[in-house]
Amino acid sequence: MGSYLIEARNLSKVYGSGSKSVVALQNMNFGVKRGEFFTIIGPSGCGKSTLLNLIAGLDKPSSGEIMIDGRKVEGPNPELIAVVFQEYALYGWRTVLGNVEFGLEIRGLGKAERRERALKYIRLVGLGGFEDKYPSQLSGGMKQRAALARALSLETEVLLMDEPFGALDEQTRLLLGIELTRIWEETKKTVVFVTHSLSEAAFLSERILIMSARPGTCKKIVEVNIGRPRDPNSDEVNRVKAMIWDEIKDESKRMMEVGL
Amino acid sequence: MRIRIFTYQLLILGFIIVLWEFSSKVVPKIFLAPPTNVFPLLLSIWFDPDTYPHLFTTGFEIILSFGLATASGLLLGFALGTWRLLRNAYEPILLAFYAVPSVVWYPLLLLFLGLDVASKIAFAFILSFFPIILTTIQGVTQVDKVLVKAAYSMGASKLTVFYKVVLPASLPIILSGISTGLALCVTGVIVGEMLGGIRGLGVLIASAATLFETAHYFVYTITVILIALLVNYVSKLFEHLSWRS
Repeated sequence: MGSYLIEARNLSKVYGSGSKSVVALQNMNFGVKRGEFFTIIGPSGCGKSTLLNLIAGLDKPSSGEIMIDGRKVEGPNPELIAVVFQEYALYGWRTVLGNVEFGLEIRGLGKAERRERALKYIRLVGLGGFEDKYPSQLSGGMKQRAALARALSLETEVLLMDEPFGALDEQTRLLLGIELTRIWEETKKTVVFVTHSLSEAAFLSERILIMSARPGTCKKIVEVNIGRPRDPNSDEVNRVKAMIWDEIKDESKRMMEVGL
Repeated sequence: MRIRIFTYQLLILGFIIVLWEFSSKVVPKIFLAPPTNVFPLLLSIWFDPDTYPHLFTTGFEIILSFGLATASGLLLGFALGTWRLLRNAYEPILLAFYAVPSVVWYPLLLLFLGLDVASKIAFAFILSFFPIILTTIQGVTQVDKVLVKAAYSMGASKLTVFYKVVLPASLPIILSGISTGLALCVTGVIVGEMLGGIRGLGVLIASAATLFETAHYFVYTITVILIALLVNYVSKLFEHLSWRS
């Protein structure tokens, strides 16, 4: 077990108290290896985002713990973890450059260094030339690139992504997925990627954690042994997709039946 | 486009003045002074040094009450917007007070603070304080939670989150509250002076009306309109501070 960078131990999360309490996560145990592309998938409402918030230190577990690099997560960990949110979370009053510089400002970097580093990552995500645009002037895909550049500029070992392409159309999603794998290979980061898309999970991941319907538990971990670059329409990818679907369909049905 | 808009504005203004002149031929002068009487009088009143103390008083009351309302509205609004307990306790009370027609407080203010400027400042303060504090609370509570979450994930402290995220994110709504507050503040000062005062434009309007000095009444009213336009321009400037414009 010692080889894991991120490790969840007996992790549970309960919201509310008494008869109104909802168990979001129940006794989860899993590990993410260093440098791995690790995907968390499950039916909607299974607590995927809750799990990611716990790893990011933005929320506290009710019991159990998360260890990163041997240290217990007690709060946000900006030196080690950067987060990309589905809703982009861009600051509308700042340009792309200003948004990417935000985290570096908080870290206390000087102006010149901030700018240089921000521009480097703006180019890396393919937004070169758009640094002076405001978020309202960008398409959804470009906004998410900007948010990705902001997370990458922090140069953390871990990148957490909470359904980052969930609000985008299928083509944009596929293109960004391809670029994300390229960036992942270049930067050798550990990526924890939350999604509800079977294709995304099968196409991007090294390993996939399949969660059960509420309360969220670890149902299964699937290894994806497909070489890269991958073809999103290859038989191998489709086989993995079918396998995930086999595991997940009853869970999705259960969530539908309880009306979620 | 600009020139066309301006032309249309001049047209309606000209139409009103012509209509005004013609109707004053029919209506007795004591009820409606014609523009040909009002405009010469306007110049003589504006250039009469005796008018200045009145204008100065009104201006002073507006600036002071608006300044106090803005400062306290913002400060308390941020406090209530940030701390849920305070908000849950006091926001309903503020809303209840806001629903009361503010003019009911004025006799009490006159009684406590006298006929001079203090009662006008207090009255205008009450009028403009509420929209400012209420929109500040609204602005702060409407900040998208994910923006705050993202800042925390990047290591921001509570203070940094406040001035780098909450403040700029709520600015557009807050500025609209401030500009409403400014307009109400002018109303408060003028109405306060009209209902009872020693000096000020409102006092002049009220006495001209009581004495049936219709031409004077129109001159002062036009002056109020010009002040309102100026105030409107200033609040437009406020709203231009917003990143959404």
